[in-house]
Amino acid sequence: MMKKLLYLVLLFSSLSSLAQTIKGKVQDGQRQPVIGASVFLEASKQAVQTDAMGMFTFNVSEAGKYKVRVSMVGYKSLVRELTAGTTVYNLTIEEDSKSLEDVVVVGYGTKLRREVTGSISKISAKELNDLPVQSFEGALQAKLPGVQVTTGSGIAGSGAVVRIRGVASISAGGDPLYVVDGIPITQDYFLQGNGGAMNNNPLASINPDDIESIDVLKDAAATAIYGSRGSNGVVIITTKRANKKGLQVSYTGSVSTSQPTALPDMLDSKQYVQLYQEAYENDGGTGQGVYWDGVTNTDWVALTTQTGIKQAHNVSVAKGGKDFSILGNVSYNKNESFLVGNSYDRTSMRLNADYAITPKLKASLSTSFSNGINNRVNTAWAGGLGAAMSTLLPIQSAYNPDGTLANSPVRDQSLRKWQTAENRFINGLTLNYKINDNFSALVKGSSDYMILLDDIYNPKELINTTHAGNANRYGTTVNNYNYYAQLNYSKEINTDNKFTAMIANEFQSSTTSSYNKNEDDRTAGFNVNSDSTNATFKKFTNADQQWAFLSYFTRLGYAYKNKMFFESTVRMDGSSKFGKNYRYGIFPAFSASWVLSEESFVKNLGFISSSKLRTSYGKSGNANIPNYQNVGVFQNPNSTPNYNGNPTTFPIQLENPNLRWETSWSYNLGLDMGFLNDRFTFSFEYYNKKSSDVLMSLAVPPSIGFSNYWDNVGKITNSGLELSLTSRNINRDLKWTTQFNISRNKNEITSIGVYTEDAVGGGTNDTRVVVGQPVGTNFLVRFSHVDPVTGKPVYLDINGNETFTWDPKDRVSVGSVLPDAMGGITNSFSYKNFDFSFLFNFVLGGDVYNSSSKRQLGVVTNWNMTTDIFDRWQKPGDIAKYPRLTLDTRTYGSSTPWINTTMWLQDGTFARLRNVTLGYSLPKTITKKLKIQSFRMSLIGTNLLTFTKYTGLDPEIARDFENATDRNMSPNITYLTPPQEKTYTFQLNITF
Amino acid sequence: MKNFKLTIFSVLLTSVFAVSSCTSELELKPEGVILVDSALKTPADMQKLLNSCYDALANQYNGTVQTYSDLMGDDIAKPFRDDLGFKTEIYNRSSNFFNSDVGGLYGRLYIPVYRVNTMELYYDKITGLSEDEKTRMRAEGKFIRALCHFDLVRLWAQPYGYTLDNSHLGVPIRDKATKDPLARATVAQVYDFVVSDLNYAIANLPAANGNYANKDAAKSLLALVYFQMNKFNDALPLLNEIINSGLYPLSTSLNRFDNATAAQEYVFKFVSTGSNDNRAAEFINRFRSDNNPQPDYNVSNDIYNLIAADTTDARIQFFGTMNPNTPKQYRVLKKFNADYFSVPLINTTQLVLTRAEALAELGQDLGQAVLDVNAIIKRAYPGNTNKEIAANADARTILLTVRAERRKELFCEGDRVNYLKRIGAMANPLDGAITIRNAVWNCPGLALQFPSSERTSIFVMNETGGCN
Repeated sequence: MMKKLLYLVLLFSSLSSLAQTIKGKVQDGQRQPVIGASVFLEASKQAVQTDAMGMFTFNVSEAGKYKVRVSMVGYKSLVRELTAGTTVYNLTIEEDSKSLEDVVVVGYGTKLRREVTGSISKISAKELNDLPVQSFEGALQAKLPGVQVTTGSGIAGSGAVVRIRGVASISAGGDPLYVVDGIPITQDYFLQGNGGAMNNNPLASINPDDIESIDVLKDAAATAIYGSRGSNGVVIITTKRANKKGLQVSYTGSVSTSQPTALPDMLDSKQYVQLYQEAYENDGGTGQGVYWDGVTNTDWVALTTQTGIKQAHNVSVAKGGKDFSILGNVSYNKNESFLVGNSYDRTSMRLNADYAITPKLKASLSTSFSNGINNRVNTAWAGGLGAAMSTLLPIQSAYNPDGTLANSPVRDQSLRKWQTAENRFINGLTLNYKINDNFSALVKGSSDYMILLDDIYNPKELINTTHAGNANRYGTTVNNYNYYAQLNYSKEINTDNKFTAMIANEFQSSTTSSYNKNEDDRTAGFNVNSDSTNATFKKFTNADQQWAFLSYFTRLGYAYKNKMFFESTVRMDGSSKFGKNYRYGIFPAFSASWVLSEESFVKNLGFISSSKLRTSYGKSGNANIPNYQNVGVFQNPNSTPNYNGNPTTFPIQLENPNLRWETSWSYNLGLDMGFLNDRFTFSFEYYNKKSSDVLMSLAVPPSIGFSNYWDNVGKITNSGLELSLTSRNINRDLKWTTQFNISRNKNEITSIGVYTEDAVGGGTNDTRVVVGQPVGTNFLVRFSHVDPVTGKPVYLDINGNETFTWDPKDRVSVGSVLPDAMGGITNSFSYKNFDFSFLFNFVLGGDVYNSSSKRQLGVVTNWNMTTDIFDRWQKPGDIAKYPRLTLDTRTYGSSTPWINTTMWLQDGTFARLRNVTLGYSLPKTITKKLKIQSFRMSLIGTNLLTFTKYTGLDPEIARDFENATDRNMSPNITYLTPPQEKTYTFQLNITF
Repeated sequence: MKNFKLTIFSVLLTSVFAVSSCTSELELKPEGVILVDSALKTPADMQKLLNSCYDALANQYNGTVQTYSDLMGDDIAKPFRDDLGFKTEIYNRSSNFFNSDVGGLYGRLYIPVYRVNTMELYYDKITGLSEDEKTRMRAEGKFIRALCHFDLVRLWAQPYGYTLDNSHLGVPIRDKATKDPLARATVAQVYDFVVSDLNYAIANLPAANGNYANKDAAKSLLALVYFQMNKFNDALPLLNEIINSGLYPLSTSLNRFDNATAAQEYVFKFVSTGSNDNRAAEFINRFRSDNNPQPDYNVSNDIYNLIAADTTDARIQFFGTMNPNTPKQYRVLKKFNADYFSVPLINTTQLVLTRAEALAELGQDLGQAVLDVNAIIKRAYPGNTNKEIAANADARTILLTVRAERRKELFCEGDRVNYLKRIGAMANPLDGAITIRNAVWNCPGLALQFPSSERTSIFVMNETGGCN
């Protein structure tokens, strides 16, 4: 009010006197104009923003000197005295590398980094831009300490497995909570099971070009505000909004190739026949073991792989203004993978707008729509490349004599039409009302609406019918919405004491409906023609599934002299998933931080430019379990069998009124330091997280009358260290910055109640929960060596004595399922208009269990083998890696075929050149002529080199999983899993 | 201005706490299923639950219980196909706790027990249930529970008589519906439990109950239990009541599974109503030989030769020979060549042979024993009167004849291995060392292994192997 009055007075007075101007141009260290910098004229308390050329102008009534202050986020403020007149002053502002001034997104709010007391790591849009990934979480890999990201295999649209500070769940979901613009999004990896050896990726339809920043909350102080869902960490995704005044139009486009990082070395026909014959004769067979026409030598791997071509285009239009700003993004992504017939195409649109209805009431809207079409193929154990690595033999011809494709998985893939389409709408509307200087209120409603359609069409040539073909559609709709209301209070009691408080209420509900349509005698799938025209049409609708959360939470903060910060959060969460005796849970957390660099004893040291100590202790929970496990249930009367012509009914689930969330109490201690004006910074953290009431899907003793039951039984401890360093080695015309991060997590199961290690249902390939070992430890019979006399494998029994017999009671925990340490190192260079950077990620220690090699290199059967088999025993006296070839499993000491032993467990240590980027930005002189703001071209390569002793395809494994327990318990198991993808990309970024 | 502010403020504040009325939103129940509280309300619901016990039971006695026992014996030849791996382990008497076929059957035999125990929790909560109905249902439940525990302890533990006081470990006794893991009871305790349940059933089951358990079914099952325990004196009165009642005359047909001709012998059976409701699936799928030249299971040369030795033995009709007179020759079974049939659990042939053997063991009423065995012989060797034994034959002769005929009658019906173990446990010096296909009758592997999930800190698993 006062400002307006003053302005009017000035205006009138300036009209009445001789008008003077103060003019200037704000530029950065490279003499580039700084747009949107705030310039404040002290005398009149006027503030303006610099325009597209970095210019500003003030009109003053009198001549003389005036003080102006220039400020801009990310830069140090500058105060200069300028004389009114015609001179245009150049004001150069320096980048403020003091990292404490960054803005960080915390749960339900934002803070300056100096005020943050919890453990939060952040990645920005620029870093996402330079690492083109199919699914955005892949870009987090090797950048944030404590965040382990294992990218899904090269299958198009596949997702990564993300683990924050180890795994603290066994049967409940162990993935972090993903929050996009305030709504925990639908995160079900098993909406379509593991058909075709791929799980659903709920993050695939989120467009990476929409993302402004990703903040990862790691400790209890940060995650307790998410209550019963935060214990595995929280990943907060904030989408872009128009934040600069004026119109900004930009375009990003790229073209890439996709190839596998490695291909398997399978035997050719001559080798296969020879080795089969050897096995046959070893067993006493005479004559010819296997028939080969002497000519056929099919390279099935070549027939199932290709070089994929990808392209991506993104157009962004943003208009920023004082009261109204809007940003629109349109993207198109076409992603072929290196598997024949496989691609993921995504089209997405976003509109984010902010409007100040009144100066105190602001509305923000985020809407997005995404359409992802995944052309699916069978792979791994289901077919495709996996079949080329297993059941497809080189002696089999791929073609019939008439030239058509012979009956094989290759033919299957060429005929079957399988497409999964996802339509996703994520929307939110926020109203923010500034009641007065101390109070503000916020109300927000969001929804994540997903329609998933999985269409499979099998033509008659594929299924050998007289009718045209069979079509199947699996449709799933998930309607996930939430609503919350928040009241904020902040008061500066005096300059030394500031107090903030927040109280809020949130409700979230999600409903999943699904159905299956099936029809014969169709010429195309339901995605081509959704009509159902004939009598064979059947539709099965499944019962709806629904869950809900109701929460109340509060956060209190106190800042002392802007250098000591204290915070406490408490959340009360209720969920429909819990038993009636445990409907609500309470999750408190306390944290504090001390900005040491504000203290005189640190300031006096001089070389320390920033320093902060922080600590926290708190409770968070995990509620990621299937619905309705707490209720006792009888079979649906419509699907009970009859006996003796009479109806039946029977119980199918035991009631568990005590089913509740998992609880984690975490302690965190962190130290952030910066030296020499933050030229060198490091951050060090120690954490200890104790989880109890860990949910296990128990294979209970069957004499109970049931086989499965969910119960809170286990206890797990995760503890570890995280370190990250950033160093600006050279900072002149040539700039060189190194970023390094490394972390180590120790995971141990401390209790599983009265149950034994076989009790947990869901882990495959002999991984178990064993007290004293990490989750998913490999539980195998130990293999010692190949006996040089007989060529048979020698095992160790439970006491360590050598034996030829394989017995499952001799299994012990072996190997290390989790790595000793992991991390990444990035080196970035820039010189004039060129920039170059490369990122290595590494994993030290940890084993990989190559489960498919037990069939590729074990008893000779209808599987092909890899060339590793050449090192096998052939005659007495041989020292060999693999035993004598045989067709009879009893030669290897067991009547159970394909036994699990440590022969297939290998060290998975690796270092990989994850990303190389070489970029060139057109100089300003040229861009000015073209009337555009910036133009950059870059060449990017991902996963170019891998250094490892592991002999399988790829030491980075994220295979398909059957359920959540499998996903937690089989992190190091591979079974014909396709390798990762190696890409070369050419990218253009243009800002108009 | 101030009013406007106040309005907005109060609107926001109320909306913040208005959601607290949504607590009921958390009480979400699954659709398409019935909650336990509404599933059991009327007598008809209880009858449905009881019926489901028979349904579950029928699916285990469809040949599964019977063949898993016989695979360990000398009447079935070794399965030769690779993908029958778990069955081959049973044949080798080397099942381990990963054998999901064995573990699966174990779990499924406890399912009817759980359902019967659940009914116990609801008898007093059902409105409209008369005392008579309650007693009948309870008696049927105990019959079912006893049958399950009887076959569980016979397959997963060493036989009755393995130790003098039967203090060797048996199986967990489930007499209550609870989710707690249990330890194994002793074999003595399990048999006591079975006998006690059957006595209640005998006292309280009706004489006629359609296709469901009736008094005679309970009596005959108890007789077979006593026989397994070698308590012939206890078995005889029950056997006499059933056989002498005349309600279950011996059929003229040798094929017990031909329902049309042999149904008169069925004291208790599991009902199949058609090929869509076939409760003999395991028998048929594994043995059937008229539409399959290579069934999963073939019969051993041992049993074939035993029957083929006498050309007048009509039971040779149950055998077929494939690849005759070649090294790849094998014998198939024709007993189960049908699309479906009801499976007799207890039948007259079995009871008559049992009575004859019990009498011969005791040396009592040998005249009746001779009549019994001759009735079987007459049917089996039509026209050959020389096979019948003399009316004054001594006990031992009668005993050996009965035993031989029992094998030739009941082969591949799940009787053989438990039968041999019983004789082994009797340790009669006259019988000599009892072996089951070259393995001593009480070697560890002849008791199937429990599934790995049964193992807890209080549960002791079986020893394995030692039989080959």
